[in-house]
Amino acid sequence: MSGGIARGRLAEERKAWRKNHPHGFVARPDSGPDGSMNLMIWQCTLPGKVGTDWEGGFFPLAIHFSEDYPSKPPKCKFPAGFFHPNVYPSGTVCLSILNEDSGWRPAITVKQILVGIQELLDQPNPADPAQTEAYQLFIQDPEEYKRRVKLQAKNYPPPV
Amino acid sequence: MSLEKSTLKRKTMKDPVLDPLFDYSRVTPAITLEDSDDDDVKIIDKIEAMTRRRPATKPRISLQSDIGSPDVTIAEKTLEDDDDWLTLPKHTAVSAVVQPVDPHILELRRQKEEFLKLSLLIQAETAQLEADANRAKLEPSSVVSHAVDSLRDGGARRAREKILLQLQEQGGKIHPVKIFFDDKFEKLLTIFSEKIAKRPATDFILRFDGAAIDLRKSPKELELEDEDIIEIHLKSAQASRRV
Repeated sequence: MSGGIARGRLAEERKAWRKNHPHGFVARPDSGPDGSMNLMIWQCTLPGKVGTDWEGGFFPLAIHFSEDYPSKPPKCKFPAGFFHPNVYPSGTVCLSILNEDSGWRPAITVKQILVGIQELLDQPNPADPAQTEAYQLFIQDPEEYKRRVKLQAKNYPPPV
Repeated sequence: MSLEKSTLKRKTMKDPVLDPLFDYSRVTPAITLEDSDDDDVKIIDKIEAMTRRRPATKPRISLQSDIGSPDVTIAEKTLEDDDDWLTLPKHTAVSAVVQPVDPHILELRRQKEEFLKLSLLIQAETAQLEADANRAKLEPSSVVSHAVDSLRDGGARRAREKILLQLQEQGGKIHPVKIFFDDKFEKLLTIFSEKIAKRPATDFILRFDGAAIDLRKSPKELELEDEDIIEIHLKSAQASRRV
């Protein structure tokens, strides 16, 4: 029942995305080897914001929706080991709007999620660290932190 | 083209005029020849019986071109029949058993062959004409020939279907552009580079869903929908970014 709701909403999200989304962003439902579409997992790309140390990077992000979506928020994952203070070592993004108990509202769209995460990249929230490495560098060694961010952006070049 | 021809051939064969060629009730039993593979004599007898009978009942039948060759009987069978007959020609026994053919029948066969060739030729030419007319219809300026029948009209109407695409520049600016559903993306890019950006088309890459678009493809092939966003990326910007 709720699964039907999730899929219906996701089909709408996809439809809306095709007709309106910020330049450089990609968000499309996963497709199996046989070409079938899995609406519950989306493969996305978010560009680093122009004018920041993240510029030039095109970061892959997978969004996992549950059958309880949109009552419950989806889980957003960068590749494991992604360098950012608010990203868990597993790659899962820690962000208030993605937290069922704080900022999530069923009306939040996929577009808002992606734009929100893009903002988070350059504006980490030191009050809510999710990994030690990036967090400590961010607090203690801003220069090295900056270097690491730029290095990571280079490791995710634009799609060919 | 060859595919088309083969379907044409099949059609021709179903033509009532040609029908008498194949007496299924009589020919079908011959298929069981395969089963009695080990009994050559039996097979030969059966074939003889068949070949003898056929000219008597339906003298004007044969379609095959290689009339003089020993394969005639086999070829006839295969041609007129469905797939399950296809294995038959393997039978080498048959070639040994060719019966002398009445010269009148040979003459008739030759004529029939002639007709068949002619009809194929005509069909091919008609198809060519249709294609030309279709192309003419796509060009608004060119005059459409009225010899066109309803079939072609349907095709032209489909071709006329348009799609509205949103070309999105890097800065986010959007230019709605309408093109034919089966136009190539080349055309879309040309429209953008000449009328909007006024820069060479080679400066740009078109992307949908993050993937570069093959300019030889059409919106139809990519299953695009009205108002879908096509992103425009600057090649040089990308190159410099990568460095």
